[in-house]
Amino acid sequence: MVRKGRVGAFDVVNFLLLLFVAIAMLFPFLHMASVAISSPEYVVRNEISFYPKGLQFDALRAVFEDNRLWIGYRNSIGYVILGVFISMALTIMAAYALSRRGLVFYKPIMLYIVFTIMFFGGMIPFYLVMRAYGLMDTIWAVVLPNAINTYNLIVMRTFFSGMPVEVEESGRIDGLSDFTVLTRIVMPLSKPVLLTIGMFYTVEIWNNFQGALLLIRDPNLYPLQLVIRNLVVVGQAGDVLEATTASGHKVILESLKYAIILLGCLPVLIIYPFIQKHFEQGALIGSVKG
Amino acid sequence: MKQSVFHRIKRDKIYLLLLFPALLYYLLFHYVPMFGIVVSFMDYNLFKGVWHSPWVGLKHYRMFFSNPDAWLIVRNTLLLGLYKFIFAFPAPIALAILFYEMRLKKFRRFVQSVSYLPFFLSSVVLSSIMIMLLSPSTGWINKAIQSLGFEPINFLQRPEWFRTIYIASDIWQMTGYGTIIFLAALAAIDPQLYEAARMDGANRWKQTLHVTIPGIIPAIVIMFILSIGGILNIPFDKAFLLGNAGNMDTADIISTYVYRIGILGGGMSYATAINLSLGLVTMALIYLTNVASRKVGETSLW
Amino acid sequence: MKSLKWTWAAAAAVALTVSGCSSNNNNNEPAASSSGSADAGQTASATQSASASASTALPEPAKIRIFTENNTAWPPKPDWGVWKWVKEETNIDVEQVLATGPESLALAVSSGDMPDVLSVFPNDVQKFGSQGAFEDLSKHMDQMPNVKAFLDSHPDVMSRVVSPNGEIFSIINDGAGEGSQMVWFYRDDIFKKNNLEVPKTWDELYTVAKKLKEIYPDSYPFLFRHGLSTLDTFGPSFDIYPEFYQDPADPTKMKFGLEDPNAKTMVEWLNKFVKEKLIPPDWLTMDYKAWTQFMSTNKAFVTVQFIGQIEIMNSQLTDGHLQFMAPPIGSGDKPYLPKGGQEGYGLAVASTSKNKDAAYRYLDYIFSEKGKDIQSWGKEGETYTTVDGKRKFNDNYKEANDLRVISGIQTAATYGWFDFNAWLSLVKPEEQYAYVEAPKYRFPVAYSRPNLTSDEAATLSTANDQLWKFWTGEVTKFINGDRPMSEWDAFIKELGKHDLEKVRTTYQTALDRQLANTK
Repeated sequence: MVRKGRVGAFDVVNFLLLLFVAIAMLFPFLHMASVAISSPEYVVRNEISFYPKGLQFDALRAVFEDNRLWIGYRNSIGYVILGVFISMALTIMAAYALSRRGLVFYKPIMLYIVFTIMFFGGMIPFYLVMRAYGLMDTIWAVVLPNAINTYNLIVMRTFFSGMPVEVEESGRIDGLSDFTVLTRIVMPLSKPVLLTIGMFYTVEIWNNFQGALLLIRDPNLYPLQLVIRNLVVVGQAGDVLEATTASGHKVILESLKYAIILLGCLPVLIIYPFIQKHFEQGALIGSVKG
Repeated sequence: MKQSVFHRIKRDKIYLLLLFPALLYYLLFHYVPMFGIVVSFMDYNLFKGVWHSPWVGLKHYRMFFSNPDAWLIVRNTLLLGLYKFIFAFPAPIALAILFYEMRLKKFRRFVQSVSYLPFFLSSVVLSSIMIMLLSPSTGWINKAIQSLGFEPINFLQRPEWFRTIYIASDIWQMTGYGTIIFLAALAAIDPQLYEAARMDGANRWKQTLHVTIPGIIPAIVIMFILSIGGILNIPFDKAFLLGNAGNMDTADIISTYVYRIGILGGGMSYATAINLSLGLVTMALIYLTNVASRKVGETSLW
Repeated sequence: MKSLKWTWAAAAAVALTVSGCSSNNNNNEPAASSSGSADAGQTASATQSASASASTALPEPAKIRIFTENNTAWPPKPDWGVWKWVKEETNIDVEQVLATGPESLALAVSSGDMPDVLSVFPNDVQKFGSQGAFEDLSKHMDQMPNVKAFLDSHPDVMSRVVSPNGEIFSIINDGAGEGSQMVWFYRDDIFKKNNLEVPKTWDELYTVAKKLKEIYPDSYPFLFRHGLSTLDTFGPSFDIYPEFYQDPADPTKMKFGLEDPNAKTMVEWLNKFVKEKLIPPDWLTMDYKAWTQFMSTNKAFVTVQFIGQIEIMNSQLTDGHLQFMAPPIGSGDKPYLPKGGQEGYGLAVASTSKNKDAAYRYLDYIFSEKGKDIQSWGKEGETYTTVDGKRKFNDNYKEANDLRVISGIQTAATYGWFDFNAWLSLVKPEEQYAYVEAPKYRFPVAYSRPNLTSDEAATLSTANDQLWKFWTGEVTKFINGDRPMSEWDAFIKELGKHDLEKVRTTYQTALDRQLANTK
C-alpha cells in the first residue's frame, strides 16, 4: 500500500538525502573490498580508493582456505539459532507479562530489571561465577549470559502495551487462555517488532566475541567473530606487512584483514532484505487482515 | 476498589509464571556476579580473592574525587555524552522517516541495507579508517580542503575537533542500525489514519507531523529514556583509539582513565569504585527522566 | 547500546592492538620481544659457568602446562620442534595454555587454576608476585644450578628480577632482543643520487632534510611513527631519556630527563622540523599503514623504526634501498641509541602448581648452555647442518620468521636464553649490517626504573598518570608550536604541580633500596 500523490519537492529532496546517505555509508566498504582484491604493491602504497588495482584474489583464497574460519562460521550459525530461540522465548514471555496492565509488583520488578543496566560487578567476578556454573567451554557460555538484552525487553514490552485492549478482549471472549492470547493474537499482531528484536538478537549474538573470549578456550568452539578478532586485532600488534596463512602463503595483512571482515558480516547482510519487507507501511494491519 | 496483594498474585499467576525464567536469568547472570562491587571497598588481591582481601572503606572513592584530573575527566565525559545525545539521538528518527516516505521501494531497500553496514565495523577498523581519512598529509578530507584553497586541518591533534569527530563518526556508524526500531514502530501505524488526514486536506508535511510522528512517540520516549543512560556510559575503545597527547584535553574520558589506571595499572578496586559511582549517577538520571516522562505523557519505563 | 558489562573485555581487546604503539609511559615493546646484550664478554663467562647439563639418563617423565602468548603471525602448535626437543632432553611433556588477551593472566590468577609455568611481563610480576601468585624462585636455586649460573653471569637481569623484599618471582629472558631495537635508517639510493652526506648531527640532519624538501617538495624527509614514544629513541642523542632513569653521572640518583637543558634542545629541533614541514604534521597519530605509505612512495627518506623494518621495507621497495645509519648527535660528542639488552618478559612458576619440580627442571633446562643451543638452533640434521664449522638452517626456513612459524623457535616461553646468531643466520647477508652496527651506539644506562613495592606502585599509579598526561600534552604543544619555546622554563616549573616530586621521591627510595641490596 503506497500513499498516493504527485512527485513533489519533498520526494526529490528525500531522494537526494538518501542518495547521500547511501554514498557516505558505502564508501569504506568499497574501499575495503577494493583493498581485499588488489595487488600488494598498490595496497602498501595506500593507492586504493574505491576500485581495485592490479586485481588478484590471493587474500580471498587465503580466507577460504583457512579452516578456522569455517569452523567459526559453523559455530556462529549454531549459536545464533540456539541463542535467538532462547532469547526470544525469554524476552517474549517476560515482555508480555510486563505489558499486562496493573500487573502485581510491576514497579519493583521493573526496577529489579533496569538496575542491571547500570551496575556490573566487573570482569573477574563475572568470570568466576560463570566458571562456578560450569559454563566454561560449553555452548551455553555464548548463549546464556546475554540471553536477555534489557533494552530489547523494554522495547518489546512497550510495543505490546501499545496493542489495543479490544484485540486481546476479543480473544478472551472467544475463550482463549492468557497464554494462547499471547501465541494466537499478540504475537501474530506484533510481527514487525518480533522480527526487529529477533534481528537485534541475531546481530548481537553474531557480533559477540567478548563472552567467548572470556569463557571459551577450545578453538573448536570459537565463534566466527572471535576467530576474526584473533586474526585482525592480534595481527595488528606487531608492525608486519604480510601474514602467513594457514596454507603457508604470504598475503598482505591489510587485504587479508578486510577480506575477513567483509566475509564476517556477509551472512547478516543477506538476511536483512528478507526482514525488510515487513518494515514497510501497513505491514501490521496487513497481517491483521490477512 | 483495591484488591489484596494475595488476590492480585492469584489473578496474575500465569503472568508471574511467564516472568519467572527472566527473573531467574537476571538473578543468576547479573545479580550474583554483582558481588564484585564489594572490591571497590577493598584492596582487592586477585590471588587471595574477595574473602581474604582487606577492607579499606571509601579509600578508592576518595582517591578518585581528590584527583585534580578527575573533574576534567568527568566534564569531558559529560560534554561528550551530552553532545552525542543531542546530535546522535534524533538522527535515526529522521532517517527512519525519510525511509518511510521514500516511494521508490527498491531504492529505499537498497539505501536501508547499505545504511546499517557501518554498524558491523569494529572500533579498531573504524578508527584506522578515520585516521586514514583525516590525516593532514595524506587524508582525502584534507586533500579536498586543500583543493578548495584552505590550509589542511590537523583534526586528530586538535582538542577542539575531538568531539566533532567522535560524534560524527558515531552518527555515521549507528544511525542506519538505529532506524530499525523506528521503522518497526512506523510499520505499526494504521494507514487509515493517513486516509483520514488526506480527507481533511493535509499535505505530506502535515501528515508527517500529525500522523507519522505521533504514531511513533512511545518508541521515541522509550529510546529517549534509555539513551539518557548512555550519556555517562561512553564506551572506551573509540575514545582511546582516537585520543593522543595532542587532543587529550578533550579526549580523556572516564572510561579511558579507568583503562589506564584500572587495567594497565592493575587498580581493579579503583576502577570498580569509579564504575560504581558512574552507575549511581546514571541510575539517578534514568530515574528522573522516567518520572518526568510519566508526568508529561503516558509512556515510561515503569 | 553497549552496557558497562563488556567495557573491560573491550578494553582488553583494544589494548592488544595498541600495545607497542600507544603513548604509554612504560617502554612498550612488541609481542615476544626481548632485548639481549650479546656482549662477547658475557657470552664467554656464561659458557664457563654452565656446563653441568650433560647428564645422559633421562629423569622421571612429567607433564607441565605453560601459559604463553597466542600470536596469529606464528600460531602455536603442539607439534612444534621446540616442545619435542624439550621432551627429548628433559622428559617433560608440555601443554600450551594460550593467552587470549591481556586479561587472561588475571583470570588465571583469580580462578586459582594457573598453568605451572607462566610467561609474564615485569608489570604482571609486580602485581601478582607480591600477592602470592608466583613461587619465590630464589628459594629453589639449588634445584636450578643453570638458572643460578645464568643470573650470576647477567647482573643486569638479576637486578631486575629481585623484588624489593629479595624474592625472585620470575626469570627474565635474554638474548633475542636484538630484533626489536629502534634504530635510524635512511634511503641511501636517494642520498647517493643527490650527492648528499649522511647527517652526523641534528644540525646536519636539518640541513639535509631542507635540501631533500627542496628536491622533493611534496615529501616529509624525516619520518617516525611512534609519536612521543619516539623521544625514548631521540633522547640518547641528547644524552637523556625523557622520563625517570638512573642518572649516568651519579648512579645513586634518579633523574627526570625533561629537566635537563638538553631536552629543550631536542624539543626545539622537533619544533623546527614540524614548522618547516620536514616532519609530517600527523607525526603524533601516524600508524604503521601511514608509515609504510610514506616509505614506499618516496615521501620520506630518514626514519626511526624497529630494526627488522629495514628488511621488510627493502623487500617492498622495488626501486629504492634503505640502510642503517648512525644516530645523529644532538648534544655531546658521541652518537647514541637507547641501551638495548632489556627483556620484555620472563617466566614464573605458579605457587599453586602441583608440578613444581618439573617446572624447575624445565626452567633449569632452558637456561642451560645446552638448552640455549637446542631451543635456539634445534638439532643437527633435523633443523640445520654444519658446513665448514658454520651452522646452516635447512632450506625450508627461508627467512628468520620461519623459525617461529615452523618450529616455534624464539616464541614466548620456549626459550630462556636465546642465541641470536640463530636468528641472524637467516637474515639476508646485506641486512645484517644493521645488527652489527646498532650495538656500537648503546647509551651507557638502560631506560628502566627500580622495582617498587606493591604499596609504592599503588600510590604512584595516579601520580604517574597525572605527570605523564601533563608532560606529553605540553611537549606536544611545544613541538607543534602551540606553545612558544620561551615558556619552556615555566613548563619545567609546572611539572612540580603535577606530582613530579612525589614520583621522584618514590623512585629514589626504590633505587636506594636496590643499591643497598646489591652491596
